[in-house]
Amino acid sequence: MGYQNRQPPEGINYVSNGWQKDFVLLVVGFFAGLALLIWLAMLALGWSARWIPFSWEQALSRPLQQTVEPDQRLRYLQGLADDLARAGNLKKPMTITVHHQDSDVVNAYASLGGHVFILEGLLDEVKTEQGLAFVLAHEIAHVHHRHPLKATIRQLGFGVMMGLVFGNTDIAQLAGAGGQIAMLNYSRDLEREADAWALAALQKHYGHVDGADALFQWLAEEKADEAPPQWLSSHPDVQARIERLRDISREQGYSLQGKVTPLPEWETASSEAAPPTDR
Amino acid sequence: MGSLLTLQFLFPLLLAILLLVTGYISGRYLERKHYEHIIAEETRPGQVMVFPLRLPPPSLSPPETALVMGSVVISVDYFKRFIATLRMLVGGRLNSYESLLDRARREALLRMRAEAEAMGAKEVFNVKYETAVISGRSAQSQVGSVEVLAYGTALIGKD
Repeated sequence: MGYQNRQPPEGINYVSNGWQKDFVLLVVGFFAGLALLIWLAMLALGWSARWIPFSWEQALSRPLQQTVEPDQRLRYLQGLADDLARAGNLKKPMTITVHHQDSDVVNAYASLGGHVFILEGLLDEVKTEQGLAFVLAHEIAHVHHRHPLKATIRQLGFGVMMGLVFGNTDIAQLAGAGGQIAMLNYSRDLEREADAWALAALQKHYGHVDGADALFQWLAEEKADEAPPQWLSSHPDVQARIERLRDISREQGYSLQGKVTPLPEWETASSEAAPPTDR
Repeated sequence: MGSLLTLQFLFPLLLAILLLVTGYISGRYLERKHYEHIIAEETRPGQVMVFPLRLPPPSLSPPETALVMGSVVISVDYFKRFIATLRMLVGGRLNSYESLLDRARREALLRMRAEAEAMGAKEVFNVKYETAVISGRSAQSQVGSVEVLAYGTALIGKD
């Protein structure tokens, strides 16, 4: 009989090895393109922060406004912050409001609207005024350079972009995680910028920068093994920061020797009752 | 705090990379194996012949006919969906889905032929395909599955 079935040729209804090629091309090409786009957008967003008036930041951060009566310690911190702000030439309409937080975590941070938070743990570990002043100046520098605002805008912009491009898919999560790591790179740049400003403010205020790296020295000694690898951290490596402070001091001719004063004793109920921070 | 941060950022990334690498390697291997199997079966001598003609030629008119079918249910995997998602952003052929469906159609036809052969048929006429989405139509659903059904009329000789 004359009927027969012929074997159809391959590669018409599908591309042989098609998705393997797609994978390489799309994954590499697409993520490279996306990274470029996001990089440009982040630059533009960070740059646009300068057009946003400081009063908007203050309006946004109104809930942070303090209502408690400042005690001796807070008055000291606020006074030191004001001195440093003046020494560092904080941009004009900006003001610094210092807050004290009862937490034994060794940290300090700056938020929108010039609100700077000093945690109890930091006051316990940093024994000198210069050490504290550097941390304070570092946070003031964040305010001066509008870093909290830039970070907020970038996070918002990044979220919107991810949502627009990917919607609610796996790739959004993947790109999100990658983006967060890239974002940390910006964060480290901002930290370096703040370190330099803080060092200049210290030199201006005290006439030397001795004791400025007290917190970093403490971190390098106590927390060295806890630190994540630099590319996963919001802050540069501690040892590198110490060296960078020294380099800047040398370049700018800051005096590395000077009178270091211990932190004053203040009478507050909470500092007596503070738990030991020996961790 | 450092390790927590590490986990928070790295976990989804590592999981996705692990899934993608597994998907790439296993997908590649399984697809090659499957095509080898399909082509070997299709070119095997003595296979039941299939025709899209609605009616058999009168000369072949047999004493008995039977409905035969072959069905395949396939599911899109994480990896193929990942490539397709990227592809949908730029457009073009969805290669990862095309080869999957091609394999499903050919496998369904082979199963139909196997059924016909088991029933003693030499030819199947009026062969048709049906495709039905059986899961994954909603946006929340993670993976989609498709059934490919091939069916036709087997001519069973009386010898």
